[in-house]
Parts: sequence; structure tokens; C-alpha cells
Amino acid sequence: MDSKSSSVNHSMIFSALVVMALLSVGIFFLHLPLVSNNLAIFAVAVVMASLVFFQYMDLKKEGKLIYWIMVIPFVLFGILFVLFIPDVCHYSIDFLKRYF
Amino acid sequence: MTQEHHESHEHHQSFFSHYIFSTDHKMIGKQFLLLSIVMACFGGFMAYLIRWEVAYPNVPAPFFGLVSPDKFNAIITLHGTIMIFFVGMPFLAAFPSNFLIPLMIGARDMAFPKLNMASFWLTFAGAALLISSLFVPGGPVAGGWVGYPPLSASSDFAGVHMGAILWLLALACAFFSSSLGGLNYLVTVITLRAPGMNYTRLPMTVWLLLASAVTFFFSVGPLIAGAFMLLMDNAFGTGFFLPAKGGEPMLWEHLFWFFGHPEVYVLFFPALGMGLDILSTFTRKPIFGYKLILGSTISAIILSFIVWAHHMFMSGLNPVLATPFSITTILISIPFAIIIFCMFATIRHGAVRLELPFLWMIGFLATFLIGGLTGIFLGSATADIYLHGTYFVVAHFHYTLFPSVFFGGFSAVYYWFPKMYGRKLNEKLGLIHLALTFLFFNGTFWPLFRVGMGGMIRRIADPSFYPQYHQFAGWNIFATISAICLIATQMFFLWNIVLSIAHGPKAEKNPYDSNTLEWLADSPPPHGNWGPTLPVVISGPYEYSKPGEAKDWKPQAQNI
Amino acid sequence: MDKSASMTSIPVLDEGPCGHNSAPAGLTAGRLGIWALISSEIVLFAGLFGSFILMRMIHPEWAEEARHLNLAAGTLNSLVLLISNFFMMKASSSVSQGKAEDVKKFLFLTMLMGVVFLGIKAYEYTAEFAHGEFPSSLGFWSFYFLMTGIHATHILGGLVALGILYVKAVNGTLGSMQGRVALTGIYWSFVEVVWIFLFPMLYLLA
Repeated sequence: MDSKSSSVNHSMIFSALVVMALLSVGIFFLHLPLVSNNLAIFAVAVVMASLVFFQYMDLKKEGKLIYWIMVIPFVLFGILFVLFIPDVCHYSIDFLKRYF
Repeated sequence: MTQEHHESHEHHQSFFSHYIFSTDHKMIGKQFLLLSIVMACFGGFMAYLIRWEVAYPNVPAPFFGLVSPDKFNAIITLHGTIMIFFVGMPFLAAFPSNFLIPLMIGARDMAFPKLNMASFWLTFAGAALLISSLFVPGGPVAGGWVGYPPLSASSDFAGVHMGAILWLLALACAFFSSSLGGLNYLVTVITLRAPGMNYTRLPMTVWLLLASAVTFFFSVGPLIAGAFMLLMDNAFGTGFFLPAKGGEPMLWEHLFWFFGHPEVYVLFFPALGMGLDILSTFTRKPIFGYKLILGSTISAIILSFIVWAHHMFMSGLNPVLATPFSITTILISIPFAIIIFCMFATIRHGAVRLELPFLWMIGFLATFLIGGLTGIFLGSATADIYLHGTYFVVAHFHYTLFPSVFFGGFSAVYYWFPKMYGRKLNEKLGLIHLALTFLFFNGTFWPLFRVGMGGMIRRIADPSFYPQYHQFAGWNIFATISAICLIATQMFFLWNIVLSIAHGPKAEKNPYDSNTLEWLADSPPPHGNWGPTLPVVISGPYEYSKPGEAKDWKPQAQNI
Repeated sequence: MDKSASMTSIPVLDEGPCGHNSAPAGLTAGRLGIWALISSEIVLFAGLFGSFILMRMIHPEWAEEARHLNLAAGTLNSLVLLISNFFMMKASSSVSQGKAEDVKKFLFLTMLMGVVFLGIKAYEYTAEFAHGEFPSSLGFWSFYFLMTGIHATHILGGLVALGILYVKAVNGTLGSMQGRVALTGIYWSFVEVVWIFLFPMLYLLA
């Protein structure tokens, strides 16, 4: 790994992350409606996390084994989240009205 | 260089570093075995008390006294927790993985030996915490091993405070221990295989121990989160699961069973893996369907993460989830059926050697089949409306767990004992142990199918209180007498082990003419396992009875 | 899984104290171990965060409780952790460049920022206790204290690991453990990612 370019890289990533952190707080202060606010903030968080995973942790250069080891937990998160909804959110008419 | 490194190890081992704080995987495996045997004595005693109270309600139990209902609740909770986390996991997952994996792949030790030692001591700490909860004010935890809130979430309901907290801490220790262990096994199998040991030449034992480890550490996370929540409910009065404080009890059930279901397969896979290798060795045949079994294992693991709510059909689950989970549950029986069929196909037309490990595996197949089939009834939500919470469920899971842990586990101990201690176990005692265990196991649990079908519910201390259960009194007494005999029979095993370690006939390196790598090491293997050079693997583990060959077996490596 | 393998007939090639190295090219046991650990931790946080999000969805009144959080302190903590992570990356690259002095400096700065993070969190906790907001208060506070508590425990664990590496670096005995700086960096970045999601979930949801 080229040392000079990696340190330039790190500074750029750091600046981007700081800007995005402040951006997410800024979005909050716009007082957007519920769904837009939450989605926008979540989107910023996903971009920040991707930057950290792929740049800082250099996930790009790891092989297929690590790829699978990292993908599986997110799939499990999806399964867990979706299948918990009927019982934890009570899957009631109220819930459906509020979000759809 | 490596030779000097290993020779210097031999000279500096004190009693403590050799037996107590060892980083050698073989010693750690034996420590797990010993821990599981000690904890099984506690768990077995609890089983005796449970059966005594159910068969002879309100009669003081010999060696204990009266099993009152609140004591009964604590006893069933401890029986479940001990048998699953402090007997099942150490005996079936930790002990074989630790002892066998490095030997079978041709490594000198695990990838992280010190972490391995920490794993054992964490399980030990958990066991100590759980036993200590017997002596605290308020007594031990009494909310069932599944610990459903609100009962388990507050001492207002269960009458237990410190006991519940100690139970949760003990479970946390067990979870961390098994996660770290699983991590160790995964890294070891990937990074420390001997030259020539491709993934397709790994014995099934290694594959399925790996499957067990990976399933565990992907499934335990949500329960650790849930356990912290329950701990905070108990210790700090938070409202995660208490409806009065805005909490949601179903959340616990989901978090628990999301882990709880894969956990039963974590306990089952090692028995399958070791069983396949044992069947292959004693039928002098390759296992039937190596790749088929691997594929089935992977599908079973994937499916195991989407079946969990079949444990919750009758405890408040949203009915909309009943059908999907019934379907996935019935689907998951397919890969396991395939693997069991492969085991039968392995035996078919084999040149069978009727030795003890093989006979134990026959016992496993006979009993597990019943357990597996009865699971299908419970997996259908409609049938479960009647059967949930009855002794049918108890009989089902004992007909799956007991064969795995005891028939499968004992098969493995009888098979690998010569490698572990350099001595053979006594055959006669072993046969008596097997015959009586098989007899009394069926005598204990078969009647429970009958009383469960009749509608008798589980977890009640005094059946005589309910007129509709008086008809089952005879069956319950029969089951209890069998249970007491079953527990007593295990004394043959303990006696056999003690006797054989002390005076048993010396065993040669490879008493069963088996192909896998561990049989090429000395009995017992020295520190570092292999001497100055590692084995170089030249063939798969199932080269038995190859047509045209002089011998009916071919070790995986030749140049030792 | 990798099905190709070397059919080498030369024994004792590439052997460490625990056995022959059969890992895929470029992957060490330590790195595989750290990624596997992180993978397992992700499932843990999935259970925790998933539970929180679902409960939050049925308790809209928790949004009002969230307004009682100290947003300035939380934002400051986000920046502190980002800075800490930056120094961690610098420490890692200093190791690969062989600059021992820089390694010491950056490890120290990483730890310092980690301690600052915990300090700000402690300040927040004491302020919340003073306002009568305890874990046993409304459900939101239970989750808040649990989630930030578990995150803080992970920071503490990371600080212990960093501390050990720092002491070794200062004594000049870092030597064979150099690789662990990068591994600790991976762990530290993971703790950062957890906060990247934790902060908006607690402080910024409408």
C-alpha cells in the first residue's frame, strides 16, 4: 500500500466523515416530516459506515471468505427485523395507518 | 527450530501449567469433558428430583426432602440450563472440537491457544456462578430455562432476585466462552491445515464441528442483547419486558428463540459428524454422499435461522406468523432426513465390525429417528395447539437431545478414549452401559409421549392436584423408576473411565484401523502432536475397502 | 469455500508454532479472527438495535424523551470518535511505514480521544441522573442507557487493547505484535460504525 497516498486518503475520508456527521445534525434541525427525516438521516449513516468499512477497514481488499463473513450478519439482521414486526409492533391497524 | 521450541516446552511444565492453566488443546478438551461430567451429576440429580415429584407428589425425595412447587420451578430451570449449556455444549461442542480439530487437520494446536484456555475458564466461571446461585438468599432462578418475562423479569413475580442475576451472568459467561471457542475453531480449520489437507479431504467430524461453531456464533448475538435487557429488568427495574412499564414480553421470546433454535442444531451437528466418521470406520466403507451431507448441512443451517417461532405458537405469537414458520419448520426436516438416510446407506453392505462405538451409534439412530419424526408433529402449528406445553414436547426433545449428547457423545468417548489416554475402555462394562442406557432411556421417555398425547402438561409439580391426570399416575411412576435406573447406569461409565485411566490395557496408535489423521499420532499425542515434521496428506479420509487394494484402509498421510 | 489446495509433497513448509499455514493468500489468522469477531458482534447489535427501532416505532412519545438528550454533547462525541479513528488509522499506517515514534504518538492520541469520549458520556449520564432520568424511567431511557452502555464497554475494551500496545511501543517491545495494531484498528473502526448508527437512532430520530 502506498504510504503517502494512504495518508492523503485518510485525511480526505476523515473530512468527509466530519462533514456528513454535521450534515445529519443539520438535517435534523430542518424538522422534516417523520419518514423523510428518518430516512435521510439513515442514508447519511449508511454512507458514513460504508466509507469506514471500505476505506478505513479496507474491506475492499479482503477476499471472498471475509465478504461472506460480513454479509451474513446483515442478512440475519434483515430476517430478525422483518419477522419481529408482527409481535413487537403489534401489527395492528394503528401501526399500519401510521406508516402506510 | 520447531523441534527445539517443542522440546523446551516439555521441560518447563509445572503441575499448574500442565493440568490447570494449560494452553494445550488436548488438555483443554479433557478439562471440558471433566466439567461436563461434573455438571451432568448436578443435572442428573435435578432430573431425579423432577421425576420423583411428578410420580410421588408431596412425598419427600430421598437425599433431598420435599420438592415443593417453588423448589420444583427452580429445579426444572436449573436442569434445563445445566444440561444444555454446561453439559451439552462442553461435552458435544467444546470437548470434541478442542481435542479433535487440530489432530484431524494435522495442526499442532489451535490458532489462538491462550484464547482457548480463556474459553474453558469462562465456562468454568459460568458453572461456578450457577452453582453458587443455589446458596444465595431467595434461592436459584425459577423462571424456566427459557426465562419468559414477566415472570423472570422481576423478583416481584418469581420471588427470586440474586438467583436470577447470577443465572444471567452464568449464561453470559457460557455464551462468550462458546463464541470465542467457535471463533478459534473457525480460524484453526481455515489457517492451520496440514500440507495436502484440502477442504474436500476434511473428515465429516471437522466439517460438522465447524458448522456447529459457526451456527452458534451467528445466532447468539440477539440473545446476548436480550440477556442484558433481562438483567437490567431484574437488577435496575427497567421496563424492557414488563408490560406495566411499557415493555414487550414477546420481544424476549423472539430474541431467545432466534438463538434457541439454531442452538439445538449446534448441539446436534457434532453428534452427526462424529457419528458419520465412526460409522465409516466400523463398516469399512466411505460415507455415503459426502457432498450431499455438506449441502444438507448448509441448507439446514440456513433454514435453522427462519424456523424459531415454532417454539412460540402457543405463547402469544401473532397468528399471521404461524403458517410461514410451520412451512419452514417442516422443510427443515428434509436436510436432516437426508443426512440420516446417508448414515443408513453408509451402513448398508458394509463389512460391519460390531464394536462399542458402532453399537452406540446404532442406538443413536434408533432413538434419534423417533425424536426427529415427532418434531414434525410439533412443527405444524395446528397440531401444536394441542401438543404445546405437554409432555409430548418433553419426550420429543429428550429423544433428540439425549441421543445427540449421550448416545452420540458416548460413542465418541468410547471411540477416541484410546487416543486420549493411551488405554482401552473395558468392553464388558461398556456393553452393560449401552444396553441398560438404551433400555432405561426408552423406559423413561416413551411413556412421556403417551401422557403428553393424553394432555398432561409439563412444568407442574403436583399432578395429583388435577383429577384429569390421575389416569397417568402409573405411566409416571414407570417413567420415574426407569429414570432412576438410567441415572444409576451412568455409574458404569464413570467407573469404566476411572478404572481404565488407571489400569486399562494399553492401546496402540490405531486400534480401529481408521484413516483419519489423529490415529497417526501417538496415544496420547505429545505436546505439539506430531513430532518434528507435520504429516503430509495424500488422500481423503474415507479410503476404505477400495477394490484392488491389499488393505481395506488407507491412512490420510503416510510419512510419519 | 476455497476448493483449490496445494498438493505439496515438501513437508514443514511455511510452518508456525501451531502448524502449517493453509490460509488463503494474504489472510492471517489474526485478521480472520477479528473479522469473525466483528461479524458476531454485528448480530449482537442487530438484535439490540432492531429491538430498539421496533419498540420506537410503536412508542412515538419516545421522540419527546429523546429531545431531553444533550444533542451538543452527542455531536461532540461523534466528532471526538471520528478524530480518534483518524489517529488510529495513522497509527496503523505508521506501523507499516516503520516509524516507531509516530506509532507511539498516534496510539496515545487515539487512546486520549477514546478517554475524552467516555468522559463526555459520563458527563451526560450524570446530568441525566440529576434530571431524574434513570434506566428505570420510561422505556426510551432503558434502551438509551443499555445501548450507550454496551457501546461504552466496547470502547473500554478497545482502550485496554490499545493501552497494552502503547506500553509495548513505549518499551520498544512491540516487535512481533505490530500486526495487532492494524487488527485493533479494524476493531476500533467497527466501534466507530456502531456509533455512526447509534447516534442518529438515539438523538436524531423524529
